[in-house]
Amino acid sequence: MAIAPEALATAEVTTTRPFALFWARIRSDRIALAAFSFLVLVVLSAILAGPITRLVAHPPNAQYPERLDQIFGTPTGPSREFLFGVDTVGSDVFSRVLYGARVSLTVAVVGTGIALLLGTTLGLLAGYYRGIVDTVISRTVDVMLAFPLLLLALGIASACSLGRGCAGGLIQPGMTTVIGIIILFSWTYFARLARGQVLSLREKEFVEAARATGAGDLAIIGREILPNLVTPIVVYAALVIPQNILLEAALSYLGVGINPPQASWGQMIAEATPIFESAWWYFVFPGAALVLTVLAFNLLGEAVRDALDPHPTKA
Amino acid sequence: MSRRPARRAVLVLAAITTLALFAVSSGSGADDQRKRGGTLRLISSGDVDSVDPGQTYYSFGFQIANAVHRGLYGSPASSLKTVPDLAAGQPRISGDGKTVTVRIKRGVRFSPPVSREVTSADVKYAIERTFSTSVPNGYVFTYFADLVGAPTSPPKTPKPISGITAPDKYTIVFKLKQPSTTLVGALVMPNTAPVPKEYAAKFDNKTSSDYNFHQVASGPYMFEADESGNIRGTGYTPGKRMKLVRNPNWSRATDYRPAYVDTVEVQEGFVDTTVGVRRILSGAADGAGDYTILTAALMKELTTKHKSNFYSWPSGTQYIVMNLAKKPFDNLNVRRAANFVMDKNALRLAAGGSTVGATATHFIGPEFKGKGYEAAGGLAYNPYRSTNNAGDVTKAKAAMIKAGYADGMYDGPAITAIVANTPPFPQQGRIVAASLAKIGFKVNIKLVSIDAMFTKFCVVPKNEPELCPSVGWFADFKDPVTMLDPIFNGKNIQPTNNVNMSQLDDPAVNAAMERAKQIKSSKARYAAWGKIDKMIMERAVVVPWLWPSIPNVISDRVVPGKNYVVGGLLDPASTSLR
Repeated sequence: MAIAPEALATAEVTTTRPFALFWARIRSDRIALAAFSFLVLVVLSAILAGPITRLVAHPPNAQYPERLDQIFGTPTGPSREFLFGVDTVGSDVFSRVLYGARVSLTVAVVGTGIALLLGTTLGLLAGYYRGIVDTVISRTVDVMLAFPLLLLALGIASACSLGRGCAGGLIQPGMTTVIGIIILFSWTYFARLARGQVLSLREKEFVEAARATGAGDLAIIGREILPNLVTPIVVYAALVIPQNILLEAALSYLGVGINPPQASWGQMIAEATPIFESAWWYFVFPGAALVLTVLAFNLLGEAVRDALDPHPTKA
Repeated sequence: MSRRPARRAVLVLAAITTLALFAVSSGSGADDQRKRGGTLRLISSGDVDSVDPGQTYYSFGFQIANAVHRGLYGSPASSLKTVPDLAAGQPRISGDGKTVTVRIKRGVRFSPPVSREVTSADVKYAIERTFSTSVPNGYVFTYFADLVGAPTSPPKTPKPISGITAPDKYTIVFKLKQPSTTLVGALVMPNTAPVPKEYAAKFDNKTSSDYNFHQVASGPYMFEADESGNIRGTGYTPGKRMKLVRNPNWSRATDYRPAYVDTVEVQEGFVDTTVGVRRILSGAADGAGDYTILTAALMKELTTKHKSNFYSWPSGTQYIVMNLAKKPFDNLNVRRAANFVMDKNALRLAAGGSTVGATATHFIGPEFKGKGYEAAGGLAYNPYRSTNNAGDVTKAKAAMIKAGYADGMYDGPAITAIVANTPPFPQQGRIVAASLAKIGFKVNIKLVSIDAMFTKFCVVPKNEPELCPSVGWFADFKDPVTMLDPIFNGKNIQPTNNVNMSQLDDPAVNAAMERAKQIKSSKARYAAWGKIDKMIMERAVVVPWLWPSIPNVISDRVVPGKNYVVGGLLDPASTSLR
């Protein structure tokens, strides 16, 4: 049966913009929404830690030794005045959990962000130019990935925790050391991912078309390849952030991460572990904050991956 | 909170005043009612600093050395007296105080493979070798420097010292440049334990002696060894385990040590003290070697629920080091302000509250009752007094104003504190930072391992930060000289291994110490050291904050031997099993 030309002209072609599609998929995922909402809460808590503690708690580094058991020096539990109880020096656990969120998010987001930029750039160069550039970058990545992460991180953190830090003072003890370690170990994964994607993308027709029209390397990389890298890189970043939160917590737990008196969830958990039986609150609250934040990032990361997937498996 | 500065450590009882009480012949102090035999199982977080009696300077090292080696003098379990050990009686001091003669016992024999009788020449060599760089020793240049012919800088290998002679097999004579009560008191130190030169010289004449792995014993126990005497891998695997067995050549008749158990085994690597203590309470181990500090929660549990598994022993002084070689602590009034503002009560609570000892108000503590504590003013002397020892900001600010800070608040650059990274040290670092913040200080806390804290920073002046808050000092013997001279005498400032961490070099203090060392009358000498304690506090050199009691956890099957010589730790040579 022939179709009348006028019928073709009046047929509605409906298209959905990528972001709208992404948002629609995210909105339909309740778990993702819950994770997103929780992370918004964590971010707001971190940003507004100062005002919140002024309203309902105490400064994070203020000490109230009178709140400790006056015979044994053990911490006391949650109360109206100290919602999450006090720690081993009488500081407000609630305040320190809030301020700990700042450290965890700053370290993980900044570290992951810089690693993303570095790794993506190097991976892009390796995949696009191949040859000696690819060999040098890829072998460097292989070497980096051969190191046992935590052991090397411990070594670097220990070395950079001393004196004036590492790299001529560029990496200072404490937060910058932890960020440096995160960058050192995270960029390799971004580089590998980017390289693999670029090796495929550079052979695509639209890249060949751009090359045929006389576009230079920079234009091809910037206009044709990079936009197509964004989705996998962002999805991967969302999954790496929680890993890096855990790495910061692990380093602080082992005493080579964030230096006191700055609050860190890992450091708090380390202090609380030996006294869990008598001061459960000191372990449970920072522990719950860490677990829930990491879980939320993981769930959101997976949801973002699914939502950006052009071949969705979910109905 | 460290229980000791580097290379330092143990409370060894040996006051000069008690020399008159020395038993001429100590004989066996064994209590035959107690069970003999069995294996005492100890655990530890780390290894001893050395198993060489000439090198060890930590409580844990002394704990092992006291079971294996016999110095000239020692102390039986549960006794406050110093008694002859290898010595046959009290030292004879010449009228001018410059000659000290010690007779040693007959019939004391080395363990295999040497297996011969110990002579005075073995004691002479034992002391001489500790002056050399091949056998590094943390105290010999402090306590034995008055020997005639003692080197001022260490030779590479052991060299004879003319001031130590062995005129016959059982007599050793010390010739001194000047009368020295310090040297007489130091004859309890383990570097006086005999070492056979003909056997040990080949090990000692190396860049770094390995006699520790080939040592022979003079005490009731020896490290399990192979036929050649090598203990490495048999009785001692560094960082992992130690095993002591009976010395077949030991004679009970010559020793006060009861030596009840047959074997002592030490398993190392129990870094988590909570896990280690649980292991002891469950009966899987019998005691600990280096658990000198526990968490407040554990202290509460032990002192309330497990009283029969716990005892503590008062020992030493815990203090905060201010580096006088750096601004702003080169200023007396800044140091006074730091003393005034420090919340000692919070520091003590973080360490376990009243269970860990009394708040220190000056340096010589109550363990020196009758020996300088009262002369220093006792508990009443508190030059930086504050309500509940929680710090006095008003007085601190007044001191800061005197120091030239207009509003009483520090406005200089941030200062650094190197703090040990295991609880409760980081908490104490936070308390120090919070206290000093009240007078404007910003303290950057750097957490490092306790080894790094000492070996890289606090005892290395060129790397030393402004503050080292995690340190303490134990007496080597029961004379106040050992509490003050090593750590406040300017002559002891060294480029490395510097235990004078404050780097105090005050001519008036130095001179007062040298004078005090030469006072023969013990009463007058203690009074002199008490005054020196006050001089140090007037100069606000450090912030003393605790006179600690060392906690000990024991299993149900142990009848503990508590001994000053091992700093109150469980003494393997006088502990029995039920």
